[in-house]
Amino acid sequence: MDLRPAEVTSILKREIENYQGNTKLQGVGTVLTVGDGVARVYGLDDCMMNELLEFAGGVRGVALNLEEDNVGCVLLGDATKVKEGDRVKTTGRIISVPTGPALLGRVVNALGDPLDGKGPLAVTASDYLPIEQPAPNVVEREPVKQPLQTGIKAIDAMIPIGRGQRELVIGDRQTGKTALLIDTIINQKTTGGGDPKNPEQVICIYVAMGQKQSTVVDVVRRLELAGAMPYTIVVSASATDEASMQYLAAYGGCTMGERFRDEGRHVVIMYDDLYKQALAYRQVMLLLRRPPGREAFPGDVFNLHSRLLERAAKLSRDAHKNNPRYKAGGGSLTALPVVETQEGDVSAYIPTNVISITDGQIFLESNLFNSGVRPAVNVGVSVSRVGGSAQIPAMKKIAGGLRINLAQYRELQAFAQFGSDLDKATQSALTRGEKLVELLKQGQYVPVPVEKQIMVIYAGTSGSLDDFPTKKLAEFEKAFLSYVADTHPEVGAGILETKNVSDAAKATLDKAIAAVKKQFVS
Amino acid sequence: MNTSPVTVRFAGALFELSREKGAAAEIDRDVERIGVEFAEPSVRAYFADARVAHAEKRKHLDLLGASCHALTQNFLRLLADKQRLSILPELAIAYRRFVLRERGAVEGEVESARALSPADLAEIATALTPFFKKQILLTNRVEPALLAGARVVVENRMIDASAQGRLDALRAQMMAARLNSN
Repeated sequence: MDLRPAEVTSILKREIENYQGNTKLQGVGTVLTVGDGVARVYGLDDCMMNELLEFAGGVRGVALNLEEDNVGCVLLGDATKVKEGDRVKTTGRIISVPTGPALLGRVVNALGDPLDGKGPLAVTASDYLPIEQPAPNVVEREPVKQPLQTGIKAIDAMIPIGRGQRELVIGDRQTGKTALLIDTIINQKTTGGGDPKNPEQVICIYVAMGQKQSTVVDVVRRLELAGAMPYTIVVSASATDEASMQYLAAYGGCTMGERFRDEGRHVVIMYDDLYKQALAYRQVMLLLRRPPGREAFPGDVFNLHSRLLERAAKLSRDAHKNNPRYKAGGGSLTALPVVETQEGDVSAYIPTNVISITDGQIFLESNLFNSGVRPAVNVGVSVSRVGGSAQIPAMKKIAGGLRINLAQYRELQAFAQFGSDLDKATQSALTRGEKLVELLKQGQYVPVPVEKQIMVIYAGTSGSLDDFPTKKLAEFEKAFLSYVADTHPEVGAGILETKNVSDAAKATLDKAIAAVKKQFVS
Repeated sequence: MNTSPVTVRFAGALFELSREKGAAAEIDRDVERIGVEFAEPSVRAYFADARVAHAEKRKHLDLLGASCHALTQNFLRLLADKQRLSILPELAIAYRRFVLRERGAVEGEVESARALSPADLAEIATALTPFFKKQILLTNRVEPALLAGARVVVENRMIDASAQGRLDALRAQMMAARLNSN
């Protein structure tokens, strides 16, 4: 940490000058029992729900259960410092986290304390906002209409995500859920050049809950390598942190995102993952003796996720005119929650809960992953309920038939395994499907800009590649994209500008496909 | 001090009955005596001991209540019947709260670095009365760790005017001070 003594002195001078010396009436209580990260406190007469409490030894806690003769609270620090009979003080503050641009590029814990050793955050008291805030109401919202490009061909073409949407990423372990999120963060660099001051830049927040610390380190390293950290906040409550921190991290991260949303910016927040968050919540609630329900989760585990995901919203242009909370209208907060399934079981408790709350899901399958289809998106069961209206017209036009083509392919594939005699239509559907699946494959950490996605998918759906060897399609894609960029840069620019594909552009692309195919034949 | 809701309910019943039957002074004195008895760790241990037969405990309880008012005796027998002997150590505390409430008073503790004179205590009590709108009965406890000044705790509320408390507050404020980014 880089601290200059002169600076410290000046801060101390300021603090001593403005020191609030007057004594005030404080609520106090006594610790009755403490253990497993929770404490019961007698007294604390006028304690508020979610109020921050101060224990002996500087340990902080949050009041969660206000009962007839005691207050149940979770400890947010070293529980070994708290003893039975210790005095507990109320602080009069609801648990809150720092927000604002100072957090960009930083790795913080659930309470917003920096973890990256880059020194304290440059924030003031007014930057602290409560972690639980009401979601925007009906009149303050507007329908999702702007696209959030993930840079992943299969998703942007068939399961489009709009700004302000909540799209669940669901799948077993080791199916590329986190990789998908990282690619999405990296791709947001295209929105504003990676400059957080650019109002067009989409801000990214990655909340890691119950993850291995090594995974979090890996994510941060990847983002740094890709130059994505300047517009990203990483909130980490890893598996070693207290269960209370693990479940509060989601709300803290959300508050950080809402600050930008309310200032008219676009934010995408990723909760990785909500299943582990529910487990942490279950642990805390069972220790606080709330009655367990199905799978021993407390009764409000649905609300735990619904109130979090409701805070994702697309604000209307005039949101700031009626509510002083919003500094500007038109901002958005897109949520990409992750749920890990066990053995592909999407009908388990938490997955069905979150599926019902979100506006669609991206289902990643280990069979696909292991057979080399990466990203392993199962297009058949993945949907985006509102994203369609956010897709740019060009993509809609080109990728419209993609989903049906692939569905036919999968159906016929099952048949084709039995018989050998297939009619021509079936055969051509199978070939087309095979080419499309191959074209939708994509490497990790290489998001594809939307105009290039459109060109590649056009090549596939136009049928010009049906006679091209499948194994060489990856090479073709690369050569084709660089050929178009070199010889006809106006095609890509045109798509971006008009958000549409003209017939002239299509003709140019057809010519380019033929030219590049020739290179491979020779 | 914590008292369980069960203790408060039993103590409340006894208190109200003592007022209704006009035996306030006797029963107040009885309960105080029970409190003194149960302040003794050996007595507590005896009544909490699972190896001692219930009938045995009853006999000792009768002995204890021999000089008490008839209602107190009934109360002790009822406790024995209902298997609620475990509330006895807390009974006096809960009962005393009812008595104090009747008198419009609360108890409090002043922790101070040095022992305070009764005059000092009285002065603090008068100063605090507007806060609590009740008569305040203060006891003094010496706590050298406070360095100077005093800290008053009355009914789950604390007023910290000690040097240590001010230092803690200053420390918390300095820890919370943020650096300006330049």
